[in-house]
Amino acid sequence: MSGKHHDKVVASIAAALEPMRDGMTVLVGGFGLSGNAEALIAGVLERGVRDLTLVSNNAGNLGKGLARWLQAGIIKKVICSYIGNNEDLHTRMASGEVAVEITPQGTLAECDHLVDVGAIDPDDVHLPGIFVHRIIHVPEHENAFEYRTVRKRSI
Amino acid sequence: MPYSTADMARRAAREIPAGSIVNLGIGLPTQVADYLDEGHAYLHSENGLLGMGPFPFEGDEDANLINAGKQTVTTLPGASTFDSAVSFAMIRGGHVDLAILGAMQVAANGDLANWAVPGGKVMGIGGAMDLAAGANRVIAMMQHTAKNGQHKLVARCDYPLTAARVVSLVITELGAFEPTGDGFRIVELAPGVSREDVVKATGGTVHD
Repeated sequence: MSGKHHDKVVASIAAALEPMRDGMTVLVGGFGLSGNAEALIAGVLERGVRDLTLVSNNAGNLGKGLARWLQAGIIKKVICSYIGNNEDLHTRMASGEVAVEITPQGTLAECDHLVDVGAIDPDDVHLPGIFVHRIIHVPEHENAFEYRTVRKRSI
Repeated sequence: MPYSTADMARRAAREIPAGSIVNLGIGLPTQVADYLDEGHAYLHSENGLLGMGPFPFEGDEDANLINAGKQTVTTLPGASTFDSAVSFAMIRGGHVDLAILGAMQVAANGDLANWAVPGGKVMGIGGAMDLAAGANRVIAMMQHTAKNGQHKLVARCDYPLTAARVVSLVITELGAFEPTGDGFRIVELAPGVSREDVVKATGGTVHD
């Protein structure tokens, strides 16, 4: 039992994304450009899957993050809470290329599938409510600032 | 002289009880933080932060430490961070004492519309619906009329609602007003603003 999940670490991004198929519904974490899985976002583009339904709080912004999936035309529907100034989504929503469903942020955040107490192996609980199947170690990735706001130091 | 946005923020800050948990919406309400003494209240940011501090000094900014508007912020001593599910459990579970939100329209019965203009660009709703419905008290902070002169304090909202009958106080450049059900009661007028100015700028009945 103790070693059951040690094989979750995979060697490559391609291996981590192996189960991805066309037409899948994909839930992606991050808030705007913060906390994005940049390497996996790029990996999905390389894999060449399409017709995806994307569920995420935002769908990228400023041409970065998940906006790259929109630019590549691999998304048919977005379920999100906030579009803001994301022109990549505004233009595709207006043209009808991408369907958009807006939902309150709290509805996105809450679990919609309940399991019996004890159904989740303690070894599977890395963060409350997050169920990890594959882990890929990415040593370096872009950590983009979306809106850098600072104060001047007083003398 | 009507209130400046700084005056509005200062006025809104007076509504914040000591030790309370407060969520400040994006835009105008964010400025309220500038008029709170450090440690007076705990600022909640729905992306997963309680105990939010001011913007960082140049050079200290961290791309992973942001507010709900995705602006870089800081944490105060005792702050905590948590995932979205916990953050929205706080909001929906009634653990946020006060939300100060921007508004497009507020109706005499307290209805709030702040996420979409019919026929306009849809920006999305973010956490606004959760906050408006879940916070124990909601204050709207807004310009009294639209740039084209259209009323924003109205008898009935014609924009899609964020939440029904939730706004307890509206702070505008003309003063502070309480939706009473059948109109807006003048709680306070900004210096030099007359009752007639308010009546002219308000879509619903104005009470004294």
